[in-house]
Amino acid sequence: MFSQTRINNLMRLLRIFLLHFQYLLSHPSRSFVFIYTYTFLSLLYLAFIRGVFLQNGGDLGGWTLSSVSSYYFLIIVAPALLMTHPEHPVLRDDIENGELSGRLLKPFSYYWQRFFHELPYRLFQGLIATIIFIVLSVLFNNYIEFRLSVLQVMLIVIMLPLAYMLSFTFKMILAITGLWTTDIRGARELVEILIIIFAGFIVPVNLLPGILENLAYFLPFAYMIYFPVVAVQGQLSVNALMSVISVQILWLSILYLLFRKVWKKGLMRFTDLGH
Amino acid sequence: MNKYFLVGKNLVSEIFTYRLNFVMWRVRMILSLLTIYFLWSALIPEGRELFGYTNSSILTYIILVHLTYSFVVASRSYAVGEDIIQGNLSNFLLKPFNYFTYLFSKDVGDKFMNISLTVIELSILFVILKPPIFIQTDLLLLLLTALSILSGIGIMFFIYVLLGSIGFWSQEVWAPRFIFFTIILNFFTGFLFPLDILPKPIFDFIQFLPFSYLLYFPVKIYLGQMAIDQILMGTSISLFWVVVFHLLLKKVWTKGLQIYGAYGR
Amino acid sequence: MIIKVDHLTKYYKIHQKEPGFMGSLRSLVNRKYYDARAVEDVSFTIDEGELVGFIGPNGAGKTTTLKCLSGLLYPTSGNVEVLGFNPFERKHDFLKKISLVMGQKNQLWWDLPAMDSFLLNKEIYEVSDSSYKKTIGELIDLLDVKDIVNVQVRKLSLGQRMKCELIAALIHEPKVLFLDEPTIGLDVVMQQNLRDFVKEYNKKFDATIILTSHYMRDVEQLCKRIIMIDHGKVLYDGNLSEIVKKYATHKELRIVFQKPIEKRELARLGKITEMNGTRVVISVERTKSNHVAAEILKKYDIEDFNIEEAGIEEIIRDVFSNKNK
Repeated sequence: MFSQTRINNLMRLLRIFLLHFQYLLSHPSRSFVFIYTYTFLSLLYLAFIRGVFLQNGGDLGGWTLSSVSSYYFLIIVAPALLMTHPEHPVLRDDIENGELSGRLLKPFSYYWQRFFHELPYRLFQGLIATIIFIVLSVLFNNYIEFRLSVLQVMLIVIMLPLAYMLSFTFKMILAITGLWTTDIRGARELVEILIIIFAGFIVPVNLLPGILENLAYFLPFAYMIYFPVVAVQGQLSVNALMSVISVQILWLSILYLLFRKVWKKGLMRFTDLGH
Repeated sequence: MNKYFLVGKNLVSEIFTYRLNFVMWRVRMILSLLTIYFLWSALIPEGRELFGYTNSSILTYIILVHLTYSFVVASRSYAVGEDIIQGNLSNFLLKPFNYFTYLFSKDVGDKFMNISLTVIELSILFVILKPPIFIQTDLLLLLLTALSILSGIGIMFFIYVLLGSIGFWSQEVWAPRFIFFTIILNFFTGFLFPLDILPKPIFDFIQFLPFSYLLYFPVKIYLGQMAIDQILMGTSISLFWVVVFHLLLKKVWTKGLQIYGAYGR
Repeated sequence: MIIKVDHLTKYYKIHQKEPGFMGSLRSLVNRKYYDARAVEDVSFTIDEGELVGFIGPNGAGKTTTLKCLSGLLYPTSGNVEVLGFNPFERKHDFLKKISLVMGQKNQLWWDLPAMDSFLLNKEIYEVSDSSYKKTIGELIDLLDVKDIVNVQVRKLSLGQRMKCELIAALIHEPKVLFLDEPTIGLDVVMQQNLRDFVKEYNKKFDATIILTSHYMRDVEQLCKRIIMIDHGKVLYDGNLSEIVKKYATHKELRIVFQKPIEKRELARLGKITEMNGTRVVISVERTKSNHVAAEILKKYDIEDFNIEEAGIEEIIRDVFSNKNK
C-alpha cells in the first residue's frame, strides 16, 4: 500500500497541486470579488428572512432566528469551499482559445487536469470565507453550538469531499457541452438558477414550498451545499448523515458515468471537426 | 436606417442558430418566474398579509415585474466589454455607422424576441396558474407607465454599456457585471420583492438610485399604486439619471477610445 | 520506420446553412451537412531522425495530417502508426514521446514566469530531476532565454514567448516533434533563429521532426525531404534537390554592372525579372545559362556576378499550378 512508487506518485501530484496554487496566487483579487459578493448577498437574504421571521413570531419550520442566521453565515463558506466552477476555464481557455488540443496531448487525464486547476481556488476561497464567517459570528454574537459526536464528525468529513466531487463532476459535464455549441449561456444560466434555488441559497431547502422541497431532495444540488451546511450545524443524526452520503455516492456514480459518456462523445465531435 | 433593421434581424437569426441553448434560456426565465412566484405564495398564503401585500397583490406584482423585465432588462449590451478586450471593437470603429446606435438596434432585436416569448409564456402560465390579472384603464397612467419604461430602457442601456466600458481599463470586466447581476438586479430593482416592503429610510435612499426605475417604478405606476406627486418625483429622478449616464458615457468613451490599444489575442 | 501512414483519408462534416432569416428558421428543423475533404488517400513513411517538411498552400491538408499523426483527429479511413502506437488512442506512453507545437496556441501560464510552466510539464510528463536539469539547461542555452524564463509570460514579446512555448513543448525530450507553421507571425530574425534551433535540436537530440509551412525558406533550410500536399493529396514525396533538378527549367543570373545598361540590350539575353539601377536579375534557360553568362562577362564590365537556381518558391508554385491544371 505504501510502496515507493505510490509515494512518488503522491509527491508528484502534490507538486502539481502546489504549482497550480502558485498560479492562483498570481491573481488573488478575482477570488476576493467572488467572496465579498457572496457575503453581501447572503447578508441581504438574511436581512430579508429576518424580517419574515419577526413578522412570524421568531420561529419558522424548525428554524430559530439564531440557527437561521448561522445558516446564512455558513452559506458564505459552503460555496467558497464546495461550489466548483471549472466551466469558466474550460469554456474560455480550452474551447474558445483552443488550448484543449494541447491539454489532450498531455499524458494526464483531462478531468484531473481541471481538478488540479480548480482545487486551489476552493481551498483559498474557503479559507477566506471561513475567516469572514468567524468575524460575522463574533460581530452578531451568533455562534454555532458544535454538539457533534465523533461519529457525526467522521461522517461529515466523508460528506464534504463527496459534495465537492459531486459539484465538480456536474460542472464538468456542463462545461463539456461547450464542445457542441460555443454559446451555452442558456444552459449555464439555467443551471445557475437551479443551483440557487435547490442548493439552498435563497432559503434553507426545508423551507421551500412543497413541490420545490421534494424536487430538491431528488436533485443533486442540495447534496452539494445544503446538506453539508446543516450537517455542520448539527441538524443531521447519524442515520440522516448516512442517508445523505448514500445519495451522494449514488449521484456521483451516475454523474461520473455520464461525464465519461459525454466526454467520449464530445471528443469524437472535436476530433471529427478539428479546430 | 435599413442597416440597423438588418442588424436586429440578424440577431434573431443568430439566436435561432443555437437552438438548444435558446430553449434552455427560456426555461431558465420561466423557472425564475415560477420560483419567485411559489416562494411568495408560500410566504403569503391566501388570507394572510405580509409587509402590506396579500397573496394576490404580490403575485400580480411579480408577474408584471417579469413582463417589464423583458422590456427593460433583457439585453446583451454588456457584451461591449468583451468586444473591447478582444479587440473586436476595432471592426466596429472602422464601419461607417454609429456604434451605439448599432448596439441599441441589437438591443431592440433582443427585446423584441424576449417580449414576444414572454407574452407567449405568460399566457400559458395564466391558463395554468390562473393568477389575478390587473388591466389598467386610466389612459394617463398607461402613458406614464410607457414613459417610465422608456426611461428605464435608457437607464439600463447606459448601465450596461458603462459596465462594458470598464474593458478599456481592466481585463476583469466580469467583476462589476457579476456584482450587478447578483446583487443589484435582485435587490435594488424590485425584481425579487416590491421595494416598498423595505424600512422607510432605506426605501427613501433607494429611490434616489437609478435601479428602482428599471422595474419597480413602472409596475407601480401601472398598478395605480402611486400617488401623482410620487410619480412626478420619480419620473424626474429617472430622467435625471438618463441624462447623467448619457453624459458620463460620452466622457468615459472619449477617454477610453484614447487609450484603446486595439489589441487582440 | 517510426511513422507509417497508410491511405489516410479525413473528411470534415460541415453544417451548411442558407443565409438569411428563412435559412435560419429552416436550419432549426432540418440541418444539412456536406463533406469537406481535408486529406485524401495520403500514404508515406518516415524514419527515425528524419527532418521532413510538408509544404502546400493554405487549406492543403497539412495541419489536418499533423493532427491525425498526433492523435487529435480521428481518420475517416486509413491507418496511422507512430512509434508503434495508434495515435488516436492517445495512450500516455505515446503522449510522453511526442510533442505538437502549433504556432498561435499557447500552453504557458499567462501570469507566471515560464519556468513555472516548465516545472508543471516536468511533473506531468514524469521527467526525472536529472534529465530535467540537463534538458532545460541545454534548451535555455540553445534558445538564449536565460534572462526571460523568470519573467511573467504576460510581459514577454511574441518572439520571446514562442521560444518559451517551444521549451515547454520539449521538456520531455520527445522522440517525434510535430511543428505546425512554427514561423508564422514572427519577424525575419526570429524566423531564422527558430530554423537554426530546429536544425540544432534535430541533430543534438536525434528527434524525428515533421514541420508544416507555407514559407519556402523554412523548408529550404531545414528539410532534405519534402512532401508536397495540395487539396488533400500528395503531389510529391522526395528530396528537395530532386524536385529542383526535375522542375527547374531556368537559372537566375544576378549581376551588378559597373555602369547602368539599357534594358533593351539585356532583354535579348533572357527575361529580366528585376532591374534596379545597376543591379539586374535575368532569368535564362538552364541549357543556355553558361553560354549567356560567358557572353555577359566578356562584353560588359561587371562588379558582381552570381548564377543561382530559380527561386524554389517559383518552382514549387509552378508544380502546384501545373498539377492542378
